[in-house]
Amino acid sequence: MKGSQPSVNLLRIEQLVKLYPMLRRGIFGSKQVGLVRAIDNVSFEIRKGETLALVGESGCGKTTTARSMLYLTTPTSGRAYFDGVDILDVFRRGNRAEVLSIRRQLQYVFQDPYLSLNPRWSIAETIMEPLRVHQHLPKSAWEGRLMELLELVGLERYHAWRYPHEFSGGQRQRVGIARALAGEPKFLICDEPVSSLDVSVRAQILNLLLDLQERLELTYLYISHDLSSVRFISDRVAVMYLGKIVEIADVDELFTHPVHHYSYALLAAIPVPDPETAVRPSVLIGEVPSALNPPSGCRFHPRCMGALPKCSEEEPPLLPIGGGHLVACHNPR
Amino acid sequence: MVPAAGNNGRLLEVKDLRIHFYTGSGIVKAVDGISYGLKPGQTLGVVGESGSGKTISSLALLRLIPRPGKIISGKILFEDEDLTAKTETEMIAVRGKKIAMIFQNPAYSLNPIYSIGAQLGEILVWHEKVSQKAAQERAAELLQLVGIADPVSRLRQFPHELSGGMKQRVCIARALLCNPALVLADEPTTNLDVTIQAQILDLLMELKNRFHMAMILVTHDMGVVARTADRIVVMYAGRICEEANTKVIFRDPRHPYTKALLETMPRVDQSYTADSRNRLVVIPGRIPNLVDPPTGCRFHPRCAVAMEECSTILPEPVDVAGGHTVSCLKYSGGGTAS
Amino acid sequence: MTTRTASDPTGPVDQGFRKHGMWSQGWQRFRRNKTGMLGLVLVGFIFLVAVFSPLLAPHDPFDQSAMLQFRSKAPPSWSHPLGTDRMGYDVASRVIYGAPTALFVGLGAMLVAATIGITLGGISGYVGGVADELLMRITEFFLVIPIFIVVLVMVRIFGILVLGTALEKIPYLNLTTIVFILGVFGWPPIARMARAEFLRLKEAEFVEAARCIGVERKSIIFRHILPNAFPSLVVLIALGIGGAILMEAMISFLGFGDPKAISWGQALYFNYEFLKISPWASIAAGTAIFITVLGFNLLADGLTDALNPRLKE
Repeated sequence: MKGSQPSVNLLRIEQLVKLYPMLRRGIFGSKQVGLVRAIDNVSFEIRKGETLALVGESGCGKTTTARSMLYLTTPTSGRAYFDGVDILDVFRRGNRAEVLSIRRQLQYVFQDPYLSLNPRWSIAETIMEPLRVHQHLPKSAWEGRLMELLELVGLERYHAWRYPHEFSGGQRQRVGIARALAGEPKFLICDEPVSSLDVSVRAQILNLLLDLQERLELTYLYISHDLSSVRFISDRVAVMYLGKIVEIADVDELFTHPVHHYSYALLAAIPVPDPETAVRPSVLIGEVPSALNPPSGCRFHPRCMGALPKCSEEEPPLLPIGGGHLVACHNPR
Repeated sequence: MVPAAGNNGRLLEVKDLRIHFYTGSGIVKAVDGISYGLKPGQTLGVVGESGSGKTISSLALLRLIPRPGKIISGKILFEDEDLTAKTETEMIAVRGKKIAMIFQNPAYSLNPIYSIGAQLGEILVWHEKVSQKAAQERAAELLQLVGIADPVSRLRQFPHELSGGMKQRVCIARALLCNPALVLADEPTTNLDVTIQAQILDLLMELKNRFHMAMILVTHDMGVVARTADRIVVMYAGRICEEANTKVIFRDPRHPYTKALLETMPRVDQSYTADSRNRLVVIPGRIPNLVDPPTGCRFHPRCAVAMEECSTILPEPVDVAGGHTVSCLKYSGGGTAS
Repeated sequence: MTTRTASDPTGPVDQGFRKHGMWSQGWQRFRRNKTGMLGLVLVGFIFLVAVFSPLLAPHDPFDQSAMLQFRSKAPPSWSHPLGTDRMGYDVASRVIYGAPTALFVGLGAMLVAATIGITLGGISGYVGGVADELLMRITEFFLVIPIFIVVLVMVRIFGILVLGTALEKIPYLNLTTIVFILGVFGWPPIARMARAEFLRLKEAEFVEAARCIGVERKSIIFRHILPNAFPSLVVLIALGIGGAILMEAMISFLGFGDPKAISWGQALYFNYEFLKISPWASIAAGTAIFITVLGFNLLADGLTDALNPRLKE
């Protein structure tokens, strides 16, 4: 919760790695011709009640991190501890009761409100599916819970029997949120929840997420490339580049004093809706390299204004620099 | 020859343009009476959300409205000629040569089966009637200009071999091939990463200044227009709400929609941690259905300061301060009953 | 405890609304499609004829009495509205009784084909890997062999095997075998479509959302993927029905059909030699085939638009 001092780590990710082998298909099988290091030793912690944002451009691995954490994609290695429990181990072992209990507590709000709802199901069925799966409420209570959830996300009772195509983007996103909340989770991953929505509707959903967080004591992992919404909703921010975390800091600290050169460039590039603001010159050259053959040493060094010879040889570790601020850089600003 | 009336040094003058779509569910009044103008070398930012009509109105300039849409009334005066009166053959001579367009998604606006050189060359051969060789040389020149290294080998490459940012640079080069007087850019950076977006916007500005091109930049991002536009037009549900110089729009927005839009956006340059009850200002409701839009001012159901007349009278643009026009009954004596 | 079924997750409150959405939306769109409606009318007409055939037919289809009165091959008259054919049968009755046969063949063959096709295609698309490779090779095999000739051969062999055995006495065994064989050879296109749909839907975001909730695999396949794959498959099945009817007509026309069944192809076979003198039997049977197959094809066309509105918008 913003402003308070949470101290318990709800989620701890350690050395998460996801590798995708590049295969060339033959008639009798496939041969590996390369390896994409989608996420490479990602580690961070989220305290109970706070919102950690994961930011970065396309290909940085933020969605892969979220999906690996929930075992929607199988991570190659690493550990994830939720409330002290090693959840990746639970998923691997596959005991249905245990897996279900984890799934109930960690939920996911998807990016695209048009694609994340089954078009053939009424939204009542969509929202109640978690109730059917988890069976934590008797069937007689399902309708009541449905109405409760609809009210929670700002929809009307009569919306229940309608179909996704009858709703606007913002409303569909509310349905997705209601579904995620049906099982009373403690933790929500919000993956670009407002990116597909119109500007005038985004505020509604962002406010809703904050309200829900306060009301239900939720913890969020907020993934986005839209830094303005990140600034609004997060307590702490982790910046990712090409599969690695390059900086983690409290939100205000990051936005005012970015220490990693990439964070600085990222923030400088955002067009601010104020013509008086001096445009910071684009300090970034070139494009994001392919994750198939990432640069040696620090992955950002070819595009970095402050690169030292050391940067191309040795990968900088993510180290604290005080005040909860961590950075992975040999030559921080 | 007497210049066309209303052409006071303006390159483009759109007058009371109306575009309707005749669909199975009814007539969608996508653009319902918009007027604006553009001087040579000026950049106009057209800002609006989905359904505002911003994209359709720029497609109208090239007469590329897809079926079942039609321009049902209004004039588009470009270089003293009315584009709405031209035949398709005449328009072909305009597209790409006098007015060029850069589309939102570079992946889809380049033909995947032809090489870059073939696609760029085709345009030059068609419009400028030069030889293939000369066309390829000019294409390489332009690729260099838009910041693509080693342009000659790029000409031989295919779209899928280029990154998103590169593809958009190619599209920009394509737009500039024949030195058009006006470039239309429809959300040119929306699909790109933030850092690439900055590069592309810098490039557009540089080229615009170098070639003295006029540009219409259509976007939903207020930050983008703040950086690039000289004047801004704010559209909502097919009508123009407000038009003014960029600084004025941000410093002194008058229309409730413009104000609401600026207030509702979260900002990167503002801290939200001080007060845990901090919430964003919300615009209630949603974008109206254009088959059956609200009567009177289209924004009135969502407007915080709507008056009773707002639901019956359609506001007309009123000049409130030298070049700053607002379509709102709060600022005008009257409008047209609707 | 409360009983739960796969299709009824919520109990009384929900009943009726689930089907209501998908089908009624589709129906609304379908109604606006003229070709589809025409197809529906034609198919409906054939259905009614098939169902009410005993009432509609003026004579017993096996009644060859006309022959005894030297009235076979007679042109249309009051007692025989479409004339009589070579064997003395009343053409109208034979055509009317051909309808249930045709529908039995079409629906039966597609039932077999759909069951095999959706199962194999679905497994192939969903599981992938070696199973997918194997199934695709099998599908390709079935697609490249000359189906028609193989079917003829199999029917003939079957006929010979059965000859003289007790099986011969089972009514319509021959016809049923033809239906079954047509089904067995008709599954590849359905399997391909099912595979494509499963591949596509497996990665759909709402399926991922379901996994995220913890929905078990069986539910994902039957409650999420299949209903969404259904529209495309229904279209193929409708087309397949028409195709199966046509195939059976061709088989019978060449003389490989079930001699004891009444089918339009049979009528063409029997009356082929007299096409010049008394064509009414052939024309009637041919027209019946034409209307039926056209009906199913138009229906399939209408269904494509109705169940997949995305394509139009």
